[in-house]
Amino acid sequence: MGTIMHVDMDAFFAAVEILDNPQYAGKPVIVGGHKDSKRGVVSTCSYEARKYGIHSAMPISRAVALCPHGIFIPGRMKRYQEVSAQIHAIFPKFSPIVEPLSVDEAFLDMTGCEHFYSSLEQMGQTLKNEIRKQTGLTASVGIAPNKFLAKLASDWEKPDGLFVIRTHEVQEFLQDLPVSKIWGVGKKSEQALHQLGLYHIHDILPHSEQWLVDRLGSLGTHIYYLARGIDHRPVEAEQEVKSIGHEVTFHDDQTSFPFLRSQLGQMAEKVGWRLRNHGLYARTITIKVRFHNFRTITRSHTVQNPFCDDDTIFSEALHLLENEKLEPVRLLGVSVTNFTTDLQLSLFDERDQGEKLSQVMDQINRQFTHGTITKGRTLLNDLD
Amino acid sequence: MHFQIEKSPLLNAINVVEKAISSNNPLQILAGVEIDVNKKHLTMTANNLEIAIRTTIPCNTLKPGKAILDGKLLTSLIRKLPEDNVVFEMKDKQVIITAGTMEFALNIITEDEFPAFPDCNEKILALTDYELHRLAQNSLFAAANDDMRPVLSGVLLEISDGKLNFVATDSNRLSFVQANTGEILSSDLHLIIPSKSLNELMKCLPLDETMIEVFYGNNQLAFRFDNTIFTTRLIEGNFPNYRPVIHTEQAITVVMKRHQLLQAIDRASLFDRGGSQPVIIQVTDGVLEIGMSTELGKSSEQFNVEHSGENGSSAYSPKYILDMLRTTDCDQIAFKFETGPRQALIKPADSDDHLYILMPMRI
Repeated sequence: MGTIMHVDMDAFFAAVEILDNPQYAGKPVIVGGHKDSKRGVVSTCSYEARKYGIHSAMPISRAVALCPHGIFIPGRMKRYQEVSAQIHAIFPKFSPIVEPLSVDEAFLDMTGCEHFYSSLEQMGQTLKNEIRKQTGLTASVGIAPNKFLAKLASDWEKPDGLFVIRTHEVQEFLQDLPVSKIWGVGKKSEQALHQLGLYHIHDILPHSEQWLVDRLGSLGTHIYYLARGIDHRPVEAEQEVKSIGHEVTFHDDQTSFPFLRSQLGQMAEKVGWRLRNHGLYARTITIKVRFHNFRTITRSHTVQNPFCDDDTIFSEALHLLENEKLEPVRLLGVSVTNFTTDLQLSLFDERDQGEKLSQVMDQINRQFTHGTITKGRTLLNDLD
Repeated sequence: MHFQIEKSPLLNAINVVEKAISSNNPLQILAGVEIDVNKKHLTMTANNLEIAIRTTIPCNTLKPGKAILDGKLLTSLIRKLPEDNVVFEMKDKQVIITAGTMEFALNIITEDEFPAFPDCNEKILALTDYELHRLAQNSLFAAANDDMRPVLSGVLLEISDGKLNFVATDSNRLSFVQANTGEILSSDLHLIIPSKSLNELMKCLPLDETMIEVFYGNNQLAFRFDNTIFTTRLIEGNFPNYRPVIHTEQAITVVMKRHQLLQAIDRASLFDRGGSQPVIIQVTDGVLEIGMSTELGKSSEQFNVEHSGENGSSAYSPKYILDMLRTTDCDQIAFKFETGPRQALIKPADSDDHLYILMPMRI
């Protein structure tokens, strides 16, 4: 059994604003847009703002209605990244295996490091103290035998929380939680579970894995184990990303160009999503095509302007595919390489539009289930 | 067909017409050159459906007639002939070319009619070959070199408020060139010339103070000079509204020798192997510092410059700056910029007829 620590900064962007502007302390601070912003959404808000019912992803205009005297700030990503880098620089002092999840969140695999501390609580407190000393900000820490439970634990006493779940406490901790707390259960899956009469985790326990799989498909296996607090996902230390790609092998060899086009659309969205989550821009796009006779070709194109939006990935990949004489296709793949973080700005704002559109789609897909919003071009599977 | 001609005018003519010979179109006729002889003149035509060129020169005609020959073969052959009289004579399905004791029989590639030569009637401009060359050269390099955005892959020929401007942009930088001389016969007009066509046209210009007449019609543009007509297809679509991006007032102005800046950025860009790293330009109280830092190491150079306005720094693609500095031929350049995500302006220090706008890089 391992020891996994999940660290999550409290209302991170808002906390940084309060740190830099002490006069905001104790006031409702909303980061995401100007007060008169028509289209902005709340990115983070302070705990004082949450008392007014404001939460992230809410339109700014709604937040203004709920809390007219709130402090609305458009956000300074560069500054947040700077503080984020400070925080992420602390983690390696605690564990060699760190999986950064976002600017303000990470898993640390503390397995084997327990004896350095008098207790698991003291381990968590040491990290919290270090973060506070280095940055002046508070974090919530959860410690548990695996990632799923550690994440639940960090959320348990937020803000400035510290919560430990030990192996023998797992079952008791989980049983009365709503099913929506299970990792991977979004709004849609939640509804499906409710229809089966499964509202709390203890409702799931009497059922066999087969019973759940018969009714929920692969989600059944997933929740069967998580409901028992079993999660074998390792903490994956981040390696330097050199390439991001996706490929699919088709059940039958494909000859329909509209079908292949829609597949490229789907893969472009997956690749773009991962690219943006890494905060990277790529300059080279590559497609891989394996034909029915296993002949495999790759074709690449490098563009002048680094990109991270789905549209560029799609149109460049399509262009490469169109230039090939197609035989029946067995496998199709799209990848991007040649990463950069320096970005040439545009005179006409056109690239920004594609990027903004992709970011809005990401936000929607993150908040609901993946695939809630997609481009029409990905849905043409049945066209022939 | 039977005629006699000197090699040298024949070579000059084929060198111009050659620019419109197609090298990759499956239509065989487009790889041909049409030779048409009347009582006193030889007319040669090539047409690849993008560009069409026709040139006419005097010859000694024995018998009029016409034939279509393989363009590449004809061009290479004429180039390799000795300086001498050349005789063309059609026999059956061949044209026999004789020069001294040499004899070559070229098969006629088709009996079909050559594609109709584009017809442009409305005269819109007249300007010298030098001025046209200057306009084209100083704008062309800024056009987009991919075909994802067709309107940006060409150069805008704009007639506006009685002025003639050439404008090109790849959306990160923009080059604006205004004509100083020439006669404008048209009202406002926006035409997008394919970069490749303009490039070929530049190579055809005699550069001896020849007047070029420009005609427009049927989505084609024709340039007429000496005994040659050069036509090009135009790109359909709307060029972006570029006027708002041209800012001539910036917080920092530096005036310095073009060569000095060019060489410094050239040296700095040695450290940019991938072609995507920014060069940092910083001005502090009359001292300009140019530096680049990459995984290969770093460069740093300082100069005293004529500096007015604030101190500040910004980052740019070295390629974009070098493109401009290598193309223009002025001695002193003015570089105007600001700290922050705002466009910079590079121009000859003593004139406003060439404005080069570029966006910085976010670092």
